[in-house]
Amino acid sequence: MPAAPAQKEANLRRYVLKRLFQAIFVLLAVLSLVFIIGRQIGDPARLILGLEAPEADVVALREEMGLNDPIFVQYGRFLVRAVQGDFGTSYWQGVPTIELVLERIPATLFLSALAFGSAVPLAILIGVLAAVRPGSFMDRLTTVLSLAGVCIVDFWLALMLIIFVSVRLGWLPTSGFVGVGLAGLPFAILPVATLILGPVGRVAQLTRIAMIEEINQAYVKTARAKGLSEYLVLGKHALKNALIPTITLSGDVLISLMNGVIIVEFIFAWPGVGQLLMQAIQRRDLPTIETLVFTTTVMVVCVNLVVDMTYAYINPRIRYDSA
Amino acid sequence: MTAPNGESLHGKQNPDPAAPNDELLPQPVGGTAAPLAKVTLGRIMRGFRRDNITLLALIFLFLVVMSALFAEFLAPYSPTQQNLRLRLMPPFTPAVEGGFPHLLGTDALGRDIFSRLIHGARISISLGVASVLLSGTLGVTLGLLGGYYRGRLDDFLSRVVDVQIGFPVLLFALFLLFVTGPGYWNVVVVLALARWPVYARVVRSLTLSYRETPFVEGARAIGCDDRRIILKHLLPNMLSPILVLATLEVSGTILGESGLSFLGLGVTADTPTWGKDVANGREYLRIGWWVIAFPGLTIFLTALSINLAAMWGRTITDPLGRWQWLGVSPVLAKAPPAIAAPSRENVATLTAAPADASTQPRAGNPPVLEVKDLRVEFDTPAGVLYAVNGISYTVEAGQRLVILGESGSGKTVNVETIMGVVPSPPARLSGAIYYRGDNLLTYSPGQRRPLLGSKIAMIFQDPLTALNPAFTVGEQIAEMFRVHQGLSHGQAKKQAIEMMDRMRIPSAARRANDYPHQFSGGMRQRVMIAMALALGPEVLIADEPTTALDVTIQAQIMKLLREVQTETGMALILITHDFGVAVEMADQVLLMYAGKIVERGSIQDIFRQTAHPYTKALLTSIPRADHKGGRLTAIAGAPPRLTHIPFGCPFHPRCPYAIPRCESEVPPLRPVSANHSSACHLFEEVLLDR
Amino acid sequence: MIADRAAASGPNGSEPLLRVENLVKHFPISTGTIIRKRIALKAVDGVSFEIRPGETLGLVGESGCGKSTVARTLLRLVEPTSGRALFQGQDIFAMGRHELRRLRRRVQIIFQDPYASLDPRMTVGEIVSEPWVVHGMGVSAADRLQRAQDMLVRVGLSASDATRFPYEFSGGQRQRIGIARALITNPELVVCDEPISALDVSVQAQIVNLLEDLQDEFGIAYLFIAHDLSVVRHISDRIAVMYLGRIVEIGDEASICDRPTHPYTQALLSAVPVPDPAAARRDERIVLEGEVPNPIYPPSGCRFRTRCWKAEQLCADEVPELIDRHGHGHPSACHFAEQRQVLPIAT
Repeated sequence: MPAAPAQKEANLRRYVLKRLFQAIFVLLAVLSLVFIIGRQIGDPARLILGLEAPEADVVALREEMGLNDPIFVQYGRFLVRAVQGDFGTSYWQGVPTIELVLERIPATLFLSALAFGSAVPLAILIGVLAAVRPGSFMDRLTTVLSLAGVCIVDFWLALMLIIFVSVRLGWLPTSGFVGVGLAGLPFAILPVATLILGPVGRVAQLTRIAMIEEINQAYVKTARAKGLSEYLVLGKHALKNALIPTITLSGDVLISLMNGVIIVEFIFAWPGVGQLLMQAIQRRDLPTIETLVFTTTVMVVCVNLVVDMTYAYINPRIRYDSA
Repeated sequence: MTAPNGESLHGKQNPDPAAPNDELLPQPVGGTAAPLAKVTLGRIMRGFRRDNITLLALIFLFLVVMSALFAEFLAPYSPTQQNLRLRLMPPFTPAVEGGFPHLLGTDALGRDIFSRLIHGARISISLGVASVLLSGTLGVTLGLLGGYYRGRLDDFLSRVVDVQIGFPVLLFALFLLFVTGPGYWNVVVVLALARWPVYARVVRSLTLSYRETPFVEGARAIGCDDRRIILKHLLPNMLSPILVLATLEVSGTILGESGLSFLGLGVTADTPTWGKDVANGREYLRIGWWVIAFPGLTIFLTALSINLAAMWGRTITDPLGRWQWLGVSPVLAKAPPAIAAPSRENVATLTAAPADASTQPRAGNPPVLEVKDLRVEFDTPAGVLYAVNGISYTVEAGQRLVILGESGSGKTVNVETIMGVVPSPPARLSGAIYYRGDNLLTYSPGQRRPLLGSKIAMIFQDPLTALNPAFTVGEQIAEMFRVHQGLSHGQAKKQAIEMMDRMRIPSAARRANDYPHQFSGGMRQRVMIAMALALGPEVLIADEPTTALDVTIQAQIMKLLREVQTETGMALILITHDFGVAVEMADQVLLMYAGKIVERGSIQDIFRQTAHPYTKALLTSIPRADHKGGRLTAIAGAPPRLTHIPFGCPFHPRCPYAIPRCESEVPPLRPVSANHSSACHLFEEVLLDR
Repeated sequence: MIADRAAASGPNGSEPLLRVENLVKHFPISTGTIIRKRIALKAVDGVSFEIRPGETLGLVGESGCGKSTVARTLLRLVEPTSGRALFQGQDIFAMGRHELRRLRRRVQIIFQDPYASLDPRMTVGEIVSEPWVVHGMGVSAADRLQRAQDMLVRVGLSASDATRFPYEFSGGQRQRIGIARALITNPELVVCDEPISALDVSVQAQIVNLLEDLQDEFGIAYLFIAHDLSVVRHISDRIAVMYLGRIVEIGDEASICDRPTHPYTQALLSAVPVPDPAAARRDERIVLEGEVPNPIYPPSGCRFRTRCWKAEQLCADEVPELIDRHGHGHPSACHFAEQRQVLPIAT
């Protein structure tokens, strides 16, 4: 029964390997999907040259792009290039799409990091306080926040914030971006405020529920019977267990921030990947969209890996060998 | 075999109604189900009056659905009718031709916003419902099949579900809509494709948990085929969570659709949609806030109402939640509760027992622990729960006291009150608990804490749940030394390992770094005991310490407990439901029923001079391993619910000796002999009846 | 009296109702990341026994010994790995779908947890009459309901309870409903899987008595599974003791409890607390050291040898067969079987 340290390590290694294996499977699946859907949308040569281009030019370009090769040859080539980060040239800008995307990433990361970094600690704090004092102001706030969080119309909230905070009160700039860092903070406040309402509500509510559940566990009774102070009983014994589901949800929150980012960047003219996506859609720039889908998948997979590792670290009960 | 009250199944179901013990026996022998309260219109109305937010949400939803159905008749203006003279008019602008005022103003083309909102409901609601029907059907079917049949289909499905749930919905939808182009049905299908995994995951995990339950196993055992099991047993049980989820998803879909419309990839027809209207107002946000504000607010309120309705749905589909919402107790009281608000004469009778007349501690050399007229009550949705109803006892140093009782007898709550860990909801306590003459109930939690764990320690029934899963056992034991004695981490750890060693946990130094789940049940209980004994307490309370263990392991743990008790000379309070355990451990026995002590005495007294009908009935109802007895004497009925304790003697409905007096008068605990007492009006008769 | 009837049932008395031969159930556990290694949890590893019509065989053992798995394989709720189970000469494990359906009218099960074993969305009437519906018995719905009501009355509930839902009943009452459902097709064998261990002490005897009465009336055979030797002795004609997937000793109730020959049976009996101060015998009690080994890696030879005070090299080398070695009158799977009285003589 008792697992020796060496065996524990082997378990952990196996678990990590398994997760990596799954991640590769996911990336491959998404790439294939992108390839299949991309080929359904129409003739890429025609898309590049436009409707007015003479047929001869289109045929020549098709030959040059290898579109006349058998489909599996095209697929193989697509995969090889994708692994190298080469998704072709943007129809719209004429530069490699990967460059376009990489250029936009810092702005988006800045926004997401600010949102995530403020939302999760805030939400955990609110949730814990709500759980410890049922019926208190914090408890009611958590309920309201979590409801508002699911029902909020983010684009509308963003516009209302602009109308009242920027236009009426003139406190903050309506939109724009001056760079990553301190100077960019005033521009980031409204976008971040729009982004975090939903996540704070969800995480706070989950933390509250998890914490209440843990407080009712028998081991909390044991801790009290040991003569520990309430601070130790709740802040040490209950909280460490309550954080386990919260961590899982935090991963989801990071991913769902991507939804918000698209809308928020669009509204606040924030030059990140979300804005790039909308621009690419408007210009029907398929290679850029494909690159964005793929890079997002990579990010999602990485986030999930980090969450799984943290989870395995914090929860000693995790069954590494579970199928 | 003369069982005055045993169940006689050979007799027909309609025994002579004049039979003397007929009225004592609940008819039929198995007892009947408790009568239920009724749902009445008045109760529903009162429920809504209390829960007026839900009522508002339901009314709002009704209005939105009506708008969607009858927009043409309800809207004062055509949604597309432009009026360039009335561009960007604020709310409450009167109409030029004396028609209906523009309640919510007009947009940049002079169209009436209120009318556009009414028409917009049609797209939002119909699209939301259509998409949810599609995704729900797909997700529920796949989740059910995957969860029920497992295998490769399930592996593949859950992998796809995991990936897709992890992927940003909006990006997914935008990518697909980019490929297919916008349009009503495209949006319906794309949103359904984006959301079906939510149902699949929920339904799959519900199916997985249900297919392991005995009732599904039982269905298979009686010969149900898969089709019947899925349709008759699984689906009906999953219906209410699925419906609640689908309702929530309607709101999510409406939000998703509005976002897509806002980004210009939603429904293309020139019918108004709420999302498109917000987008239309973007250019005018400096001069006409209302163009944006009202469509957005409508989306928000609709989503909010749906969520509130779903929460309400969840409450009323839960059997207990429904009664709570209606504000009634689910089970009707058969008899008035015996100890409702301890009336004067009740208290008088209860405390009339000799030597228990006051709640003052015994003078002179006080015992280690003395409990005086302790009462514990809880407020629950089903009414007041009377867990402990006036019990008194003392524990001397070195004594082994066993508290015997069934579940619901109040034996656990009683000792948890001593430890100050009575469960929530906050209990109402009265009486006194003296530790060496000081009343613990007057202590603040801070005053009591230094005693807990160090002077009075407790071990719990299930060591798996009683140990914290997230910390090593070494840490959990060492914590005692650090908190109470201020030892350093290193010293505390050393002491902890020493304690584990004393409790004969093999290779203690290494195992101190393991987590509770890595130990077997018996070893876990040894860890619990090590923790409880770490600081050498004067009183050890053990709450069913071996119930969760196998019988050979139980023997090990009892041996260990006996040894450490003799070694340290501490007092031991052992709680159990097992007469055999009591015999092996006890000097003194307290037998509890419905929150009261019914008999108290030495183990010899209890067995040889049984002075309470309950004790007597229990003793003849338990089979023994040492000889094969004849037919068991069964006690009819079941222990009372603590919210509805029978009036008078709580045991009278099940008692073969009961006389009318037992129904009206609470029997006090009266002495039978020195150190032996019984709470029965008729114990003399019970004693004689051998 | 039960034994009398079993003996008196004429030529059929010697013919077993159920004969289980070498039943094995290994649960596969997969490990490995990319290449899956299959190892097996040996839950049941070669179990053989017989049940005669109308008798009760008690199957006793501690948690994890495989007793519940035996029950589940006999009803084909779990597929066995190998072995045969001949029910009146027909192998249950070889039955096709239709034969299995017919079998399920004749072999039934009562579960441990009365709270989880009844479908919460069905009325008690629907629950009890469901076997009739499934097997197309009875002429009409009204007829089936009537039968269900008769059965409810028979197990000590009232006919009007048929319209109620399970949550309205107490634990003991629910167990009665479970018994009514199991008996409505008039089965010849009922497997009782820990039927009273989830009930209040003062309610347990009701259910034990009910099971005994129903056996007397309908001549059902029981396979009674429990961890509590006291209850098993009370209700059983014969007892089989299981340890780590195998039967270590089997025999009639008196020879197992009063003249046990296997050290594990002796330890198990000795550990049972007897509720009688006169029977206190704390000093000579056998307290086993250590714990049950992991069923994935059971010990070689005799599985009990790691905790046995008699173990020698032979026990590690050779699996002891379940036979009567020294003429004790009943088989025991110990190389060194000898009689020992561990329980006090009852007063």
